[in-house]
Amino acid sequence: MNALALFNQSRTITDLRQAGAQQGTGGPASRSLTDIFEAIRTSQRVTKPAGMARKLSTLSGEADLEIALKGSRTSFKVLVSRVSMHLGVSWLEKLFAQIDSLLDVDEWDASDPVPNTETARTFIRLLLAMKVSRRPGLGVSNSGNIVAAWTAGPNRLTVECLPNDRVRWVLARVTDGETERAAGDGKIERLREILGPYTPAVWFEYAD
Amino acid sequence: MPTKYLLDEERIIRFVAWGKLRKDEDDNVLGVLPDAFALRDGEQSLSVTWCEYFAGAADEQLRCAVEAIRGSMKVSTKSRFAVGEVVRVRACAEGRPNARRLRIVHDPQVNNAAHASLINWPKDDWQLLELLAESEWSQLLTGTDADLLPVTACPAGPRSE
Repeated sequence: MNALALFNQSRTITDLRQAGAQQGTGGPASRSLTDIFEAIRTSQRVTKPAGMARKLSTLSGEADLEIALKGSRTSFKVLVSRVSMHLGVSWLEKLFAQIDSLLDVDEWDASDPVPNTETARTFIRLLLAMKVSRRPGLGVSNSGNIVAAWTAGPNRLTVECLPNDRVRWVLARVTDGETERAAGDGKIERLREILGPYTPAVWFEYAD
Repeated sequence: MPTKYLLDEERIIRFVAWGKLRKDEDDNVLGVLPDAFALRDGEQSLSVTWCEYFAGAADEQLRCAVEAIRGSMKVSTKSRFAVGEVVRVRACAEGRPNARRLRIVHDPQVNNAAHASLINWPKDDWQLLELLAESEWSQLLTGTDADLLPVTACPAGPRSE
């Protein structure tokens, strides 16, 4: 199986690891995935413009949307896989399932722009910067940006992943029976400092 | 035709697509994301469907409003319908700093006679939208829930005139 075939099919992590082994990439699983997806990325860069443009010119409506969502799913997974060594295979498989579910053409609201790589990149950097153990629920904003939502009872954190490592966030945090609310926007690095006083472990870690 | 304002005790429904639902890490639905109530680029008002446009008991009106939405747009299986009371939505929106008076008016469309518009809806107040999503506009109906509601021919009620 070559990289282009992988680009055109939805695959599980296990499939991708096997594909990597067949390509002789060897090494740890995460390293293989990185190599495979790097190949996919290269392939995508070379083949996408002409082929995709032709497809889009001859198809319309839902078919166009399906192609766009498929491209978005693939790009998102490629980016996620490049940091797979930090996330773990099980975590990654579940995140892939969430991505497939969010970007499912049957459920997609055609009024929403399809998420691009910029928002996916910010989302991944958010996960890494916040050192999250617990995956967020996924959604999409009206601008087509990924929205990550962590919910622990009444404690809610919602983060919209904007381009260029910027985020917009809103939270509700209950302490001693009082609900504190806050909202803002800025760079990911600042978010970590801002969330500090709210004990973000309530969102990012599993309760004992 | 004179402008018809919705009354405080009346209910409005907003369609919420799968991508605008708040979920946990296993895709279990927990509620609504703030963007479910956000204006899109170019929108001047927030679109909803007015339950009391229809005649009948409360549950019948609710079912009719869901059917009106279903008849006007693609409604996917995992999506939801968020039901809100005019009085609570208004109090929440108008309670924000620098809020403008909210106008909630009947605004019939070709494909949805019960359509209503929320005019002066804030463009970029994520904290308000989160507050609505968390509490004041958080009652959700699934498609299955809606199908269990009583069915009528959905005649227009006295308030529609």
